[in-house]
Amino acid sequence: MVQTSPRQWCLLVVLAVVGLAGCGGPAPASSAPDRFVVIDGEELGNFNPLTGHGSNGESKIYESLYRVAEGQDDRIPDAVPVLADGAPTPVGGDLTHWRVQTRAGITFSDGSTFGPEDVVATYNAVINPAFAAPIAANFDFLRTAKVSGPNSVDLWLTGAYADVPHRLFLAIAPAETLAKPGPADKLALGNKPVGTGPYALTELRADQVVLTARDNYWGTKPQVTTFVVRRTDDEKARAAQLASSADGTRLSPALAKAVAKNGYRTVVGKANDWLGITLPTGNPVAGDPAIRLALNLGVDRGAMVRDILEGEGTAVSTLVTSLYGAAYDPAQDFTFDADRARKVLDSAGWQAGADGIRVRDGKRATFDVAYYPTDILRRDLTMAAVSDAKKIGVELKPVAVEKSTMTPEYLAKTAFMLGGGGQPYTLDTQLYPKFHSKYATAGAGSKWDNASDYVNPAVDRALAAARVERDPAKRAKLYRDFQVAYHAAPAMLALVSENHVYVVRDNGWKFGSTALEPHAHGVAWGPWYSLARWTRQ
Amino acid sequence: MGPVVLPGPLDAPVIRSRRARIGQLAGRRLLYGVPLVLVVSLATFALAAASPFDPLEAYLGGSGDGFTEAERGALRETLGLNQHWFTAWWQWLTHALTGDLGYSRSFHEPVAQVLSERLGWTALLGVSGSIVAVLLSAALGIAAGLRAGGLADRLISAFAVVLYAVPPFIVALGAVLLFAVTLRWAPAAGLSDPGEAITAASTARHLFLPALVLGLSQVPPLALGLREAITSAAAGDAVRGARARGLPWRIVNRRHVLPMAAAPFFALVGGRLPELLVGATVVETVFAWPGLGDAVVNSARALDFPLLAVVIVLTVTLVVLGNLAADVAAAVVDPRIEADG
Repeated sequence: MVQTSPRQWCLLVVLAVVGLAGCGGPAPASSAPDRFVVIDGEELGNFNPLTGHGSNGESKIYESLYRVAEGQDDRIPDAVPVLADGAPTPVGGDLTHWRVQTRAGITFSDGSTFGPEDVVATYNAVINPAFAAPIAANFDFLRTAKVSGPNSVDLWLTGAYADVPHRLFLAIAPAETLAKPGPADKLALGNKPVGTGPYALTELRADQVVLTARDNYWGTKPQVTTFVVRRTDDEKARAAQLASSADGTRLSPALAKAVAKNGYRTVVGKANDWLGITLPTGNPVAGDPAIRLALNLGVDRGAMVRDILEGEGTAVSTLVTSLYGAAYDPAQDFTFDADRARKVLDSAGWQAGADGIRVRDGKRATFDVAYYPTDILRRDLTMAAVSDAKKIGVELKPVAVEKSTMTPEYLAKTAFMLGGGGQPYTLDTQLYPKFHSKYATAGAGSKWDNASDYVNPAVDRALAAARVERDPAKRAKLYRDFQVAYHAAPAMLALVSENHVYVVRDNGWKFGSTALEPHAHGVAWGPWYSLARWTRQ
Repeated sequence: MGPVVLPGPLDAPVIRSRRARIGQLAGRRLLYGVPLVLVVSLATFALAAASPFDPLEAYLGGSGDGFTEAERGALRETLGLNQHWFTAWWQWLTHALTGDLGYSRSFHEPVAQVLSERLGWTALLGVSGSIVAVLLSAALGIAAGLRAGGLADRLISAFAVVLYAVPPFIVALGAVLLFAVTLRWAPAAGLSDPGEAITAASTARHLFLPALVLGLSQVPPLALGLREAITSAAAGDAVRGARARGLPWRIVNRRHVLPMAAAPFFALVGGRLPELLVGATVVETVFAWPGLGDAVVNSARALDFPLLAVVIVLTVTLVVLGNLAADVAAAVVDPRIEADG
């Protein structure tokens, strides 16, 4: 299943050399005791909330109305108020108008006072087309924000929405910095961030960023007073640099295990970072209900987690996993059963042909699966699915594509290795756009919304009711109903969710568990999500 | 000194001084450079536009999956990404002529600022790497060439061939692990120690490994080329004549062999070294050296036309200048070479 490519050879060589080099002796202690140095894989700078910096409340410089609680990865983490004072309350009974009390007595790093007008300015800017904010679509639930009192903000939504607190993680910038509308990437905030957070940017160099704990921070001043971020995009180079020049970084599981010694250890951040293959209705084979069900039964997700993710991940069947606590119904997961998959295909009239590939009414059970070849994980998972499908008589043909190939017309007919998990803190953001039939017609929503063009009235009912259900217990029940309906007639071939693996030097800092992570790459997550709350052992 | 033209009614052969001819060569080459830059920059825009990369995807940076097609269209309009590549090129050219290099979408800052932050570091690394490459390859090439077939030659040639075959990425990682992690002689990454300010001393320490690796990467072709030039010069008539006159090897080598081998060596150096200045992508990546190599890859993937164009023009200029310098140097050291371009 897994071929040895030049890249893998390269990895093996690097692992061997890293292993040898590790024998050189224990790593030296960081030179300054209150400093922590990390290597990021992402471009340095770009601290602009409108282009996505801190969009899930993870920024060190900015703060948001709410952030997710760390250490809760067996349920949807609580939304902890930061700049907000208490939970948002609905105004009127229809859940389209909400009020948030903001905290008083907070100052930005430039000395100006934080107030509700800053919240209003940032939220209105992110949905203002003139700013062309890349994350605007995450706030399509919001119509407008208005100041409704000295310390209160009113949000008018585009429709009824129950779980508003888990959508208000946008990093808040001062209103003055957003006064002139124009493309977001040209805002001064990108290089000169001004936030209310525990750290302020004190140096932005082409090779390093230095964040320093603020003396006039409204909360408790962090004990890690200097946070240095350097950058190397190649992970093998990051692994090599780690021992001589840094205290932590993010690596793939195999490399992380190789360098986690001599005072370094791995930290695993549970994430909702899932991958799966769309099975579009517009393709006569992929969209056939029997094929959809049989593929879900016939792929060995456990083997993919074990062999491809090195154990650092979870099998995903319905996009609802144990991360979602009471909303998760384990009985609705697909367990690997190739025999049952074959029976499903037999009884639907897909008969095995001469070459082992099934045929029905003269049509072969074969279709293309498009994937991005530069993403190693997507490639490996695609190949594993191809090999598993072949064993039940379905031929998937992998086709490497570029992003520009993925037009809505192409997606409507071609299966695609899809990644998700952008906003994992409500099940609504995970499920509703992916499976509601509202997005099954051409032109409705983004091209990635319901990319399989799946129509299931029972699924629609559960998702629509859950969206406006305020009682979390009743909402969880509705999501369990969704899983039952989905299990009977799946829309796509969800495969696995990948955890994020970090390597951290043990130099006397004590930190809590990680927070449930979205699909993300940088060092804002992992143990550093709670950087401002680290303590000395 | 200007060209000396003899008076006369006929098209008499113009006798010019050697220096004037070299000056004319330089002038002509630089004139050729102008249309070359225009054509290459035009081709850059055309090729980039034909590539599968989408500047909107680069702008969205993976967070724009929720946009409808209509919203994506509106974003293209707002950001000015609908422009035809020729229009974009013309706009870039006219602005560049007035000194405005444009705005880099991939770095979120003006191109002039990207250059001011990175060009110096790239130049420092490139020049240091070139010095390492020239000194090392000259030493090794001469040692191998003058005793062709001897033990030193065999060792040096074998080393050069092996070094040539190993990908620079592996050489760079190996250097990090050996010198930075195991021996702890020099730091592995960045311009200074983490969190510290940049000083001359810290820059020198941090420059050591990347300059060494970058220089080493050019040693094999240069050293082997010099060795080849020396052995063929040593087999020439002039050397046979000198030996016949009973001159000792020491004099023959210094007066005949090395000067004759110098011209082809300079040509090699001039042709290869310009790539050190803008093509150090791998070395810059491994050593987290904030130069332009990084910018090349980023700007190409993001279809960041203004930055891409400047980097390409810079490369073309360096190649033209590098070749010119090599030819001038060759004409200066070897009187047999005609400096007529």
